[in-house]
Order: sequence, then C-alpha cells, then structure tokens
Amino acid sequence: MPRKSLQTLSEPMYYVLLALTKELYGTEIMNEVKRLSGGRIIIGPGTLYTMLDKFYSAGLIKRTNLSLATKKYIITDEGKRVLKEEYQRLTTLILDGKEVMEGL
Amino acid sequence: MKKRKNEFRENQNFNYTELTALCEHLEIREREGKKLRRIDKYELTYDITEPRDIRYSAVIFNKVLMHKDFVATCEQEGWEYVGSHNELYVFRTQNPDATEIMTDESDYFKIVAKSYLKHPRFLGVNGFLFYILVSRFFDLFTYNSTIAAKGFLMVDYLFLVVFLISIVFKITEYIEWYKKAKNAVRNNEKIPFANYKERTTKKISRVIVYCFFGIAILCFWIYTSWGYIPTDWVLYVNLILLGLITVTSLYDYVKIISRKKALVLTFISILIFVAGAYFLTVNLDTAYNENPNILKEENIPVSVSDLKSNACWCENEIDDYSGTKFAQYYEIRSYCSMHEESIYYDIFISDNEKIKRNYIEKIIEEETTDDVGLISYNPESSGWDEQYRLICDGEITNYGLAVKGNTVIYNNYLSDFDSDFFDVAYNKMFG
Repeated sequence: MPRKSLQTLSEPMYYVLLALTKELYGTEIMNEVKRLSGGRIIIGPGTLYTMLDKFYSAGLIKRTNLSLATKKYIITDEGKRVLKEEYQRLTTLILDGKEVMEGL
Repeated sequence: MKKRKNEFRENQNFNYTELTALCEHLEIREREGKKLRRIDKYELTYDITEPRDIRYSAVIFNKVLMHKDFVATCEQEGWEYVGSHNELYVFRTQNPDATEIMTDESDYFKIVAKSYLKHPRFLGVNGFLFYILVSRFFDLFTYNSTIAAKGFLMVDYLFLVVFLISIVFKITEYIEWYKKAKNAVRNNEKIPFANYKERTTKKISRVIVYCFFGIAILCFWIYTSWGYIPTDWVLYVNLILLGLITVTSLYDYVKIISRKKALVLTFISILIFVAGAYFLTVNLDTAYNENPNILKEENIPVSVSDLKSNACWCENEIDDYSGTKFAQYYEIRSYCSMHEESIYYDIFISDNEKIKRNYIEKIIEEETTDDVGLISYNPESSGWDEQYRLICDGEITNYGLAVKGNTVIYNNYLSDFDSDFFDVAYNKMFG
C-alpha cells in the first residue's frame, strides 16, 4: 500500500522540522540541519525548498517576515504534532529493538 | 533578437534527464571563454569573455511561490543565479566547496515523468501528420488515377511505418524508464538515466532550423491542399516530407537504438510494421481496383457525345473530387472540343442513407427561393428512385437532381439539359 504523504518523515524531513522549532531562513536551516545531525545530513537548496513547499502546503510550517526578500520559516502547532508523533515512532522503534539488540 | 558582437548562441537540446551533461557542457564552454548569459527553451546565449574554470549546477525546481527564497538561499551558499526556463534552474560558482544544490528526487521524478511524455521537438508535427495520414487513408480508395494511387499507397505506408516505429521507441523508452525510476524513488535512490555524457549540443544554426520548419509547413500545406490531385509533384513532395520526418523522428531515438535491448525491439518492430504495411498495401491496392465507387475514365456516366450521339471527339474529366470513407463527391465536366460545348454535373455517392439524404436536402434548400424551387418529379418509367426538377414560372424544367441507390446525380450549372440527360446517365451508370 502506498505510504501516505508526510505520515512518516524521511530523515532530512525530520531534521528540517527539528531545525524549524526556531525561526530560520534558508541557509540557516541548512546549517542547523548539518549541526543537529553532526554533519551527517547535508541538504541542498533544491531539496530544502521542495520540502519547505510540502510542509507549507500541509500547514506544518509558516512563513514569517513576509515583507523582506528572504523569508523565514517556523514550525506550526500542526508541525509540532507531526514532529512529536515521528519522535515517538522512532523512540518506539528503538525501544522495541532494545531487548533483541542488547542480546546480540 | 539581434545578435550582439561579443555574443555566442547555440541550440538548447538538453532535456530534464540530462542535467549532468548540461553542466559539463556549460563548464566546457566556460573554459572556451563563453559565459552563459541566458537559457531559453531552444537556445543558450553566451557572452564571449575570458576562459574560466567554473562549476555549474542545473537543478529542477518547480515551486513558483518559493522562487525568490530558493534563489536567495542558493546565492547565500555561494552560487550565482544564471537563469531559468520553466522548472530548469542554472547556477554557477567559483567556490569548489559550495554545497551542492541538488534536485529533490521525488519531485524530479514527477516532473520528468510528465515531460517525458512530451516529444521534445515534434510532438505537434507528428500529431498533425498522423491526422493527415489517417484522413488520407480514407481518401485512398477513391483516387481517380491508379498509378498515382499506387505511388501514394507506398509513400503513405512508408510514412506510417516510420511514424509508428518512432512511437514504439518512445513508449518503450518511457515504460522502461518509468519502472526503474519509480523503484528508485521508493528505495530513496537516485533516478536512473541513460548515460548522455558524450552528447554535445548540435551546431545547427537557427536559420537552418527555421528553414526546415518553413519547408515542412509548406509541404503540409501542399500535402493537405493537393492531397487528392494525382500529379507527380505531390508524390515528390510526399517523398521529401517522408525524408524529413524520418530524419527528425529517428534523431531522438538514435541513442535508444544504441542500447542492445532496444536494438532487438527495433528490428522486431520494423519487421512487424513492414510486414503489416506490405499486406495492407496489397489489400488496399486490390480494394482500389475492385472498388465500384471509383469513377474511372471509362465509366464516367455522361458525355456530350453520349447525348449528341455523334462522332465528335469528346472528353470526360473529373474537375474536382473529395472523398472520405463514407462518401465520394465528384464534379464532372464532359466537353466536346469540336463544338466547344460542355456539360457539368455532380455525382455524390454514399452508402449511408442519412449522409445521402443530408446532401439531397442541402441541394433542395440551396435551390429554393421565393419563386423557384426543386420539386419531386419522377415518372415511373424513368427508372430513378427519386427525381427532382426545377420549377420556374410554374413550369418544370430539365434542370434537376436524380437519385438511384447510393448515387445522386445533379447538374450544378444552369445549363438546361436535354430531356434525355437523366435517361442516358441512368443507362450508363446502372443500365
């Protein structure tokens, strides 16, 4: 069955939403994602803005300082809910595997 | 637009699946001292400048609302925005460590899947030709010259073979790519594309391209306007057109032919279509010769000599003809050069009763005014199913229309026919 859009987040999506718990603009988001992931996840502007567009359309983020040339973005309440759900899902995955993995 | 002195232009032949090749090409141009200034649908415009070693990035991005943010962020990352056309954006940088802009794969897949279906250059032309081709197959049954018709048959089928092969190529390429690309997106992998690294932009000047389109359009016009006139010229035009279409159609598929799998498919397709074309040609040829609806010189129904019953030299000619699968229409002129006399009449043939009835009613309507009109006048002895004569000043004239079976004969000029006209026509056509 095809996965429902944004029901589960990909790794870059998760980090972008994490980064957007603060109000940031494009380059700052990219840097924040890099910092949060310890340099493991690097996203380019092409990927970033496609993601932002999806989040924006789904109401997960909103744009701020609209009068300025470079827009800033921040997570919405709906975005926080999706992020929390994803966090819980990932935590559950870890906990479910803990017993097995420790026995290996 | 007027070309500047220190400007260089070339055709833009890269599509959305060839972003890497486009970047490599632009980097080569930079090293040659050509700096990209503008990117259009069919053209790349450069400024002639100092050679530089520079890095290019071409990405697909279709978020119109975020265009400014996207460009601004790329610029903050050290990229210079060069230009964009539709979803294709081009940037360059001198910083070798600048973050790669990257196209989002799932989005890329959707855009490319959509653009793949559009033929890059000649979709419209092919569609138009296909329409003409299909229309002309209906006409083929009714050509009034066997030799010309045979010529047309061969050309049209060659034409159809080339056209269908190109469609098979395109569909095969699309299906093959779609399956792989969809799997790649599902597995978070890069969308696969054929290796086009070797490809470079063609050095065809715009003048040649425009001339080509001009000639093609002229050919289409001749093709459509003269399609049913059996002259050698039309045959030559068809051959030229066939050549042009073959070259342009095959151009896009040369890269596919080079792949082994596609090569086998190509041979199978060619065999199937050639065999199909051969059998269809034979069948159509037979159909043409046996088609009773085709008026040939010996069975044009009425001539002046038929009416005058003298020995003067008379000729029959089909002045005009138009035909479809459902009906044929002839304007016929029979004339006697010795006596400088001519008679004109139309023949309309259709097995479809409704089409035939529409034609009759249209004629009656056209000919009916306040004091003149066609009225039913059909003595039993005439042999016609129906006959209409023009009534003028209360008197029945010899001008009119007669119907028998699927055939309508109608004198379309106000030459008052001999009263024998319809009898002679009847006897020649049905008697």
